Amino acid sequence: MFQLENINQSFKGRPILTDLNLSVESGSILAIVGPSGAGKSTLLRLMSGLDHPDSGRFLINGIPYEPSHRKQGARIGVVFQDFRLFPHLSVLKNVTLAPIMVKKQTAKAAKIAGVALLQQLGLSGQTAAYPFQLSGGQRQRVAIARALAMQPEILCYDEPTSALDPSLVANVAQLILDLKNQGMTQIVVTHDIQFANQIADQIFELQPKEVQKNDEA
Amino acid sequence: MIHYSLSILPALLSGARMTLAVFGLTIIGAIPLGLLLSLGLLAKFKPLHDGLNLYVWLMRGTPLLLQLIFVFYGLPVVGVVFNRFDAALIAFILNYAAYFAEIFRGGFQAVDNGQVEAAEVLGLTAPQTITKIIVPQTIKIVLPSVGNEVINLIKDSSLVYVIGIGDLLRAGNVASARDVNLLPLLLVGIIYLLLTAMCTWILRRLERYYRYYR
Ligand SMILES: Nc1ncnc2c1ncn2[C@@H]1O[C@H](COP(=O)(O)OP(=O)(O)OP(=O)(O)O)[C@@H](O)[C@H]1O
Ligand SMILES: [Mg+2]
Repeated sequence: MFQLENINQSFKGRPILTDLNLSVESGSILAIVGPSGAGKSTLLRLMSGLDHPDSGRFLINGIPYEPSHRKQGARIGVVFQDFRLFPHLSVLKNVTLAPIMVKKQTAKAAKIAGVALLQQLGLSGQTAAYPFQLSGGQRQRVAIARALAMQPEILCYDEPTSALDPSLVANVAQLILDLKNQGMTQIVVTHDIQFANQIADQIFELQPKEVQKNDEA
Repeated sequence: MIHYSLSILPALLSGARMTLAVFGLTIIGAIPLGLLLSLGLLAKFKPLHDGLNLYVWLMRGTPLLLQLIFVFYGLPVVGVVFNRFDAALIAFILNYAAYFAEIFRGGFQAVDNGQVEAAEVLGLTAPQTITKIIVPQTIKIVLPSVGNEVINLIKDSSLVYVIGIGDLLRAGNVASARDVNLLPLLLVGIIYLLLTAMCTWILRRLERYYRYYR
């Protein structure tokens, strides 16, 4: 179980997140929804350790977890809204870079694992391609493969449907559900309530400022 | 005419060798120094940052010719003496490093911060992020500007003439004055053209290579 405990974050004295408490069961999907400016991306940056909360803490299975400590690789993976693939590296190198550099896997082992992962995500024909040669949907799957290659316990997505052609939304939903079946805990930030209903076990509504409520889906 | 050209060619080629020595050693010194200075320009530590900005401003705001004269003829007045070649290298490296520093600073800043964050969440350390993500992308960005400076340097190297170094330009000028003949100067022009054409060709190849990604 992944828990957020009394998370507070404000920017220049303006509170964005106040005493936020939230928990996600292992292997389930939490969708975080809310209007623009509610603090969804802010929350994701805190969970991935890109920013530090003013106060509060994170726990994984009851043990405090510091997201910015990633010596052996982060336990929380991130798929950015704009994917942020490394443009100068091939698809396969995008996926194997961190396992080699951070997890100290051999190039050969990382490559075997990376190829398998890309194949699983339907990208076996693209391993040698560069990001600019891919469609939006393919880029997103490379970003997911890159995060999964680090074997995170939790995978977070920022607006996974926003950069995609509407016809591809069902595919992402299926992919997220497939990963759930493999036991992955996932947190999906989205403003698309319909999409959230389709995939989530639990929906958390982030309200701008004070009022926040938590429903079970 | 061909016979005359052949007779002065050894002198011109020896001058060209000096030109290439100034050029090559300046590149070898100024690019690493420029890289170091660019990191300083990006540093948060204000005194360092301000000091380097002042340095870049001075080097780019005054003529290289003045700097050259200052190092070779000026510094001996206060007891600092360099031989001609060392003086030339010091002036050229210090001057070109300032230009390169500005180019590299801009290049680093042009790499999307999202790339750094993506590397960070994957667990890459800062040195790994610099070597594997930032530097490769910066090279592609700065290549055209660095190329311009390299071509300029070939031509600027002729300024060493003023402190009495026997470079290509001096060799041509000496022969032209001695023999009262225009040909040496034309040959000098052709050799400069060949040198810049060669550099341009190499730079084009490099730029084409880096087109493998966007
Ligand atoms: N680094 C920052 N400095 C100052 N204010 C910030 C910073 N980051 C976010 N904010 C502010 O915090 C609020 C929440 O931003 P956030 O990006 O988390 O919203 P969001 O819920 O993701 O919105 P959207 O749906 O538009 O992506 C916004 O008002 C934003 O202006
Ligand atoms: Mg957002």
